[in-house]
Amino acid sequence: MTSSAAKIHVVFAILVVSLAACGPTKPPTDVLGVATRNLAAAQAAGAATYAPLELRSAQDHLAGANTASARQDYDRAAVLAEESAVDSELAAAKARLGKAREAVDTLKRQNAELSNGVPRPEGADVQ
Amino acid sequence: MNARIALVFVMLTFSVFATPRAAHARDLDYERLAESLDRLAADPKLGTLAPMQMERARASLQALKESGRRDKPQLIYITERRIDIARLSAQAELTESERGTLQRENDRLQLAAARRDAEQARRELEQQRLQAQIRAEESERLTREAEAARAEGAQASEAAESARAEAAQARRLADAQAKAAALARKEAELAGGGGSAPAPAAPAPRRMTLGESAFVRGKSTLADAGTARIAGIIDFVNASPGARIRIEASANDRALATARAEAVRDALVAAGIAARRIETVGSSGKGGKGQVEIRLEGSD
Repeated sequence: MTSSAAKIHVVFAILVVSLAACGPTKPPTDVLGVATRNLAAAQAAGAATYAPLELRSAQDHLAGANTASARQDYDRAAVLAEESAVDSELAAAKARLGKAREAVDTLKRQNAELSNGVPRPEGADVQ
Repeated sequence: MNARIALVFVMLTFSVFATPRAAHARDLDYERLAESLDRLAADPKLGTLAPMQMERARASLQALKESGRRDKPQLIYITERRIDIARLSAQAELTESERGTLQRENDRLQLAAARRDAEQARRELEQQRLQAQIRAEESERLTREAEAARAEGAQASEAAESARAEAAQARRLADAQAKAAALARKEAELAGGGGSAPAPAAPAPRRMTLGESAFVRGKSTLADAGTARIAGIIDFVNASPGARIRIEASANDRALATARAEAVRDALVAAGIAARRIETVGSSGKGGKGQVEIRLEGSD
């Protein structure tokens, strides 16, 4: 039985080590860093105006990630940071689209004014 | 025994984590997202516009497909958003492309408008220039006219001046003539008055004489010397056209004396002197010198 007991111990040790390896043992600084940078980029892109809900979600998730990290719940912190990062990317994309649409609307209006507001002399090469 | 129990516990725990949940539930989430991503990829307009975002969404979907139960909710969350990001990015690309087109059109329109404005401004400027030119020409014309008028005025006043001068001269002339006429009248009066009045201041009779030698001896015929003298007497008489002429001849013989006086008279008449101005007298006497005296009497 000693040999089998030893085998069991070995297996147990391997399991413990492997389980321990599954959970993070240090703060997920890289993911938190990405989330923080993405949030700043989204804000810079005008997400507060064009994607307030998405921005809010990114902020909440990043705050939760930082809280979890402070609690040394690094697993949870990494999850929340990843979600915050993708929230920020979504907010930035939405802001980019919103800005582009706004610009398109403005240009359409301007062009309409420019081509209709004044009579076209000598068949100016409009279009 | 403790170890065995622990092992069993560990195995149980592990099996709980490792055991997949109902296969159909995982498939629903995955299939829903996969379909969403495929639809986006198949979109004729948006499908190819955000390849990088599409790739990340696909990777996320793949991770979801391979994920365990524990990571699934988070991967669903992330995959959903990755697909949204891909769609929004594609839409943004499309919109920005449209924006570029519109911006170019806007540039063209603004350029055209600027050209129109510039053309308009140029036309207005040209018009103003023309108007200014017209005004300048008009003012120049007026100046020329004014100058011409001034010149004409000067000419007119010059003419008037010369007319005035002529008139003044004429007046002076008339005055002079009048004065001359008055003087002549006065002279005539004086002369007339002189004739009738017993004025001692009457002009003394002027006279010339022809000597005995002027005649052929004993005859009334003028000798050559007498004929030469007659010319001087004619000049003398003609110098006083208004005077009466008295020709007095004296000789030993009265008849000869008269004949000689008449001979002189005839010579004067032959020279064009009126006979009625001439009076002839012949006298004889002891002291007769045999000469003929021509005297002028009265006014010239």
